[in-house]
Amino acid sequence: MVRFLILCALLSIGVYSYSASLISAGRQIFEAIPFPKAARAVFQQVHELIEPTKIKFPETKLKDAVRSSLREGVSAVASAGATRALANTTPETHELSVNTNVDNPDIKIMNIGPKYRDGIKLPPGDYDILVEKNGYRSSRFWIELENSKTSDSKVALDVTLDPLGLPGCTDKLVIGNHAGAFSGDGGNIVQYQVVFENVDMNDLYQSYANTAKTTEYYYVYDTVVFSDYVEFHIASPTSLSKSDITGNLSINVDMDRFIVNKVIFEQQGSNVLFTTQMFMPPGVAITDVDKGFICENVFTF
Amino acid sequence: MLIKVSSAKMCSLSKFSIVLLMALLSYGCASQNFVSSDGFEVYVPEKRYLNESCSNLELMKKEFDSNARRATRKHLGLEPFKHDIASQHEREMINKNGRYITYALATNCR
Repeated sequence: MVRFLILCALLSIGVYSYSASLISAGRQIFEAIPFPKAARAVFQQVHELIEPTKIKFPETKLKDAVRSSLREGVSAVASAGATRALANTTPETHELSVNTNVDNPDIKIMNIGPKYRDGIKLPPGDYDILVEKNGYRSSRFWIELENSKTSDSKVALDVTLDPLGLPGCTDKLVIGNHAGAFSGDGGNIVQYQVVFENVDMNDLYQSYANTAKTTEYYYVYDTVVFSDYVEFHIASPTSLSKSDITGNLSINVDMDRFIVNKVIFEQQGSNVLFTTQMFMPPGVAITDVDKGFICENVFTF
Repeated sequence: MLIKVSSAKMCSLSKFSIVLLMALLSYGCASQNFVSSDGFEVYVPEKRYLNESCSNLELMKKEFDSNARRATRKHLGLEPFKHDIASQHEREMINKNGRYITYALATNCR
């Protein structure tokens, strides 16, 4: 009996001493209990996979993906925007105007030197357009200005920027949880899904990527990119406090243990299904999953 | 899980009882906090497979036939994660991975 109680004592002291470091991430509380050193070699390997730059984008793939998904609407506007048919003269140029729903947007043509200005004259070719505004999701897309056998044709693009975040997030969010932190086979798994309505996947995931780039405790170790589907594979620390998250503090990924975050964007018609899956090592727990906290701190893109 | 114990009662407990209480509290807190959702399934998107090239799908099929568990972890981007995944969910993921590879091969490559 005494031996049993001593064992209980040791267990209790163990649990509670780590509880002291329990990360009260508020609603996403990760508790890291030291795990017998299974994985140093493994994590060394992972560390090599993880770029020190934190986020690695397959630029070529990304560009191809964006190009291949060049939105038909925009393309149509670009083609139909030739409002003046002049004589068959050279050099052929187009006057480009980008109209948006926000005041003073920042408009850039990413693949040429000259800065954008309303009515900028451009020769036929492909152009990578970026429209940004603080507090709004950026829009980036390619347009093709065709050889139209006219000169000085006017091309007008209508671009709508959506505000950052997800209206009605707490109602839309669906959370699944597998309990397995301290008992059972395998660790905790948490999944949440939500549908963004009437949004272009490229704009959404690039907005997410920009947010992730600035997140101090995320390491993207792989990506899968298609024109209508993107996955990010992210390693994040097992010891995040609420202030770590809200303050975006710099936290190193634990060399022994980390949480896998799979973030998936999937274009479904005019909507995008967004999925996050978190796979946690044994002993790492989410003690509470609060939709309000997630909506406020995750859905900021 | 909140368990309120008045200070008067606490003082009357022996040190072993306190230890036992702490152990029970630990267990109670841990078990209370991790309730699984009913009917929860780890989502495996079929669209990703339908996007893959035939050569990739064929390679995935070969890997899957060789070692389904290891291949599934690799295909789903979980390869660096060496810890156990709940067997129920891992089985689901393996089944879906195998099914979707076969379906995508049959749909796009034959």
